[in-house]
Amino acid sequence: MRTYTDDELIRRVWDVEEIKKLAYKRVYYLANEWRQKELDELWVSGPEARKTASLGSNTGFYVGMDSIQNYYVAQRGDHSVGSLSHYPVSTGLVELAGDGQTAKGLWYCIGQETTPNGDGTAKALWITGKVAIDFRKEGDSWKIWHLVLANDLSCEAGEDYSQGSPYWEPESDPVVQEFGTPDVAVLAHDPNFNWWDDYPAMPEPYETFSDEISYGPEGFQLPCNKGFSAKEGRNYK
Amino acid sequence: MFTTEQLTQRWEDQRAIKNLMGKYANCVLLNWEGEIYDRFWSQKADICLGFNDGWYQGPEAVSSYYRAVRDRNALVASLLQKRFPEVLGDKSEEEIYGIGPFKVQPMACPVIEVAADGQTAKGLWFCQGAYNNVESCGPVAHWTWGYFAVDFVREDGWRIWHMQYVNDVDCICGQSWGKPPRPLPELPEFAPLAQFQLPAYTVKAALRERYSPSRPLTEAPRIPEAYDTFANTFSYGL
Repeated sequence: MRTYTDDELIRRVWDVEEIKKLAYKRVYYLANEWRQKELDELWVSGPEARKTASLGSNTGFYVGMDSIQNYYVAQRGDHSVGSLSHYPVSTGLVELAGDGQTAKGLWYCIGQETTPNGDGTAKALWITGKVAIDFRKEGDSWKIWHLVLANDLSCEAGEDYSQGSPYWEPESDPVVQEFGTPDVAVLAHDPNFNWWDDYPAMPEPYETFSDEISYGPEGFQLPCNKGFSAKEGRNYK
Repeated sequence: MFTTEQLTQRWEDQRAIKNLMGKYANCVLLNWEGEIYDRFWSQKADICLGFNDGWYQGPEAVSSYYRAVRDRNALVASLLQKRFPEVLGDKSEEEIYGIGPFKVQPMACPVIEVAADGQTAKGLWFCQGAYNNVESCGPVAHWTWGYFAVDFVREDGWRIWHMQYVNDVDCICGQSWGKPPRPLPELPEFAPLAQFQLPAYTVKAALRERYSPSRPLTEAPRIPEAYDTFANTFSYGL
């Protein structure tokens, strides 16, 4: 167990504050549709980190900043009129590595995405799920390195979602459709079983970063509970 | 570069500011608007409080807004007393004050910057709230999704100097904010509420147009940036 001086401890406290602030700034960037600005200012910029950066969702991962940019910005379309996006996060949980060079965070998001129908109305969706982020220190600044948006529910505002299909239907799920075809196509989170698959998992205290604990695709392992055939959950006691 | 002691103090300042806004939200939840001005606002003459459609500017205007909300709370309680005499009929005005409105303003996603000189600070919060109020149609719940953008000043502790509370969404729960609202029919026992009006804004101004399918993309209030002294940053006030 590492011990820290008072100066190291207060700087670690501030590192966590800066990490939380970075995750919160992203909320406002999203609301502003500043997606390119988000990638430019809030994500990693070092050449190696750019290659391994990733953006994940239920159905896989985009890997590398160029691929992320292509999905996240270039394919985003026009949102200049009638769009409204809010993805506020709460219930933050941040673990700063013992070596202080990386950190992991997990939040829950009760969000919404509203897009115009073109007839004077708009389709407003509740979108809820986990937001998991690996952070990396670049110089004196913290940056987003791997990000997973694991969605558990998307339903239309004003509708009774208990009347919808009880099963997840990826072919008609707007979040899945919007995510497109990722570089690493894998069923990372299956909302049919709520959070039974425990992905993305809570960060645990750690000394230094490794692929095994990454929120990038290299850290994803097919859960032992995947599907009904597993008989019991990962957390079955 | 701050020293260990300075960093500790700045962390304490940030915590105090978060606590201030947490207490503000709790006072709103408890319908303690009558106490908010004295408890949280600065003594400065240039304080201001902004909503989507305008500003209350100066101590008298800001304090009169909170007094009016308190008066409305009292009116709601008296109407509920008439509506439920078997439960509330023998209670005094003081005893029933606070019955009815239930306004939730949870503060999330704080981006706080304390000035390097430690005399002022700025904060931005996302507020995914709801007000469950009694209106002329009776009890009704609305989603309110928006922002608190606040300048703080250090006096006897941290105080609110300029504050904007602006919403994108103000929609009856169970309806879609992407579709035309379906108003609820008025109920005669709550008709007096239709006559109640908050004080007129000191400055009527379109701070933020609420969301509609024809609204151009509207950015959140400006995100605070690190600054040394207030003269060198922007203001959330008028």
